[in-house]
Amino acid sequence: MNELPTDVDRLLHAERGSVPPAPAGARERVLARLSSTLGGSASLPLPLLPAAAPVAAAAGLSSAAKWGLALLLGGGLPLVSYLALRPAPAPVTLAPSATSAPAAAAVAVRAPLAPAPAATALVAAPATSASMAPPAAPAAPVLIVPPRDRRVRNDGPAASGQGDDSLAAERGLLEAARAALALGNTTEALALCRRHQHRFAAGQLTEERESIAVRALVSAGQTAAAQTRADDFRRRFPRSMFLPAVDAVLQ
Amino acid sequence: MLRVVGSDKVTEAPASTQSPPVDKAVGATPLPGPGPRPADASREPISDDEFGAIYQAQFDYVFYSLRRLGAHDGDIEDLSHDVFVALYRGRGDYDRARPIRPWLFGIAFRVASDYRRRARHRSEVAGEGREFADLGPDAEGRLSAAEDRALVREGLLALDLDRRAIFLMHDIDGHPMPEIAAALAVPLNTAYSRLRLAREQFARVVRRKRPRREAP
Repeated sequence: MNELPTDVDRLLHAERGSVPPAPAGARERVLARLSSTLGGSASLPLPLLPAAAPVAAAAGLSSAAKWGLALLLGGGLPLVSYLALRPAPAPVTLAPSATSAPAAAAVAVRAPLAPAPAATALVAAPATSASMAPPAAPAAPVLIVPPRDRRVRNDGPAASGQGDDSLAAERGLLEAARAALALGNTTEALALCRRHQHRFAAGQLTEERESIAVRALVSAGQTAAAQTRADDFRRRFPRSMFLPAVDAVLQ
Repeated sequence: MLRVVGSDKVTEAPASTQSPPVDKAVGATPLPGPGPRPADASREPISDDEFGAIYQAQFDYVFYSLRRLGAHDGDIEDLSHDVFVALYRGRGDYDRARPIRPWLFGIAFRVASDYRRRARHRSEVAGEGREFADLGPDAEGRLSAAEDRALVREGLLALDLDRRAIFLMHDIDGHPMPEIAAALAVPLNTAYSRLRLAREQFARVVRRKRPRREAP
């Protein structure tokens, strides 16, 4: 195996030294979106952003208001999408979005194919190693995720016959719906869900849409409709990772 | 409930003038289990608590890895989100006997590959956006370091993604080749071959560009 020439290798020293921190706020913004993608419980955003929690709690805000505050403080993309979409009556124009959660899901997390003959050299860390359990940060964000179900979706673009642009549009609509729900605008959230259903009858984010719709119905006080929709959701997606959130919101 | 309790702290890579030792890689520590466990528990799914800890401890690494893989700065948050979604959905596939970073990089690589397949993202821009790193205490040093980083970035962008990923993982992150091959799901010999070609190409590119940069 050829080695890198010394003069070239020297260039890499700075790269090897450390991992530069991500831009300010990126961690929180991504966490907020992850909570939305993986979670869905109405109480989720309250502890999500450390700065939002005490303020919201002290103010005695409603769950929806806490959602909004958390998103506002987090600079959440969904809020931006919502505000951008809100006045648009017709086809939705979305900020370009490079990827989507389902697209990521379609990226299989494959089991290693190659054997790992040298792995034993790396297994020396004891189970009590603190590397993954460092001292708790004082204002550590909390992320609630469904406790089970890691089903790998197979309803990718090939299955749906829709391309990346459609996927991005789907995601934008639903992010706007989530943001509307977070701000307590259940009418708008349900309208956006309906718009998604109309435009993407066989869309890739159907589970996400239905889970948002159930939550919106509950928030709107339409418990019976929410129950009916949740029953339908359970029948159609019995292993959905959104199911715990759907169940929780009806309890 | 998932409590994020990680730390931002990143272990420093071993100082070396050549490629880092393969058995002292940055982030090479395997994920510890929840406690004493039988030998066959290495496939126990990552718990929610662990997922949160991984997010907190490895977010910067994922973010920067995506950037080094050629993602545009404006897209990296989207892609980071996708990496962690894929991690969560595939958390049962993680082998606890393996270090976490190569596995995360493997996911980032697949997300970045998917991203690059879209025509509109194929054009990569060297030096796009700001540098996130602390470049050093003095102005001259900062300038020199910035130039070195820009040169490295140009060299990296000249490599195709398959080679770049292995080069990054081995010659910069310092992961051992068997871990790299496993994380990227390629045969070990293929990984070595790609590394050899990547090194040759990287050296060629940076040497070609460096005199031009140093000219008045």
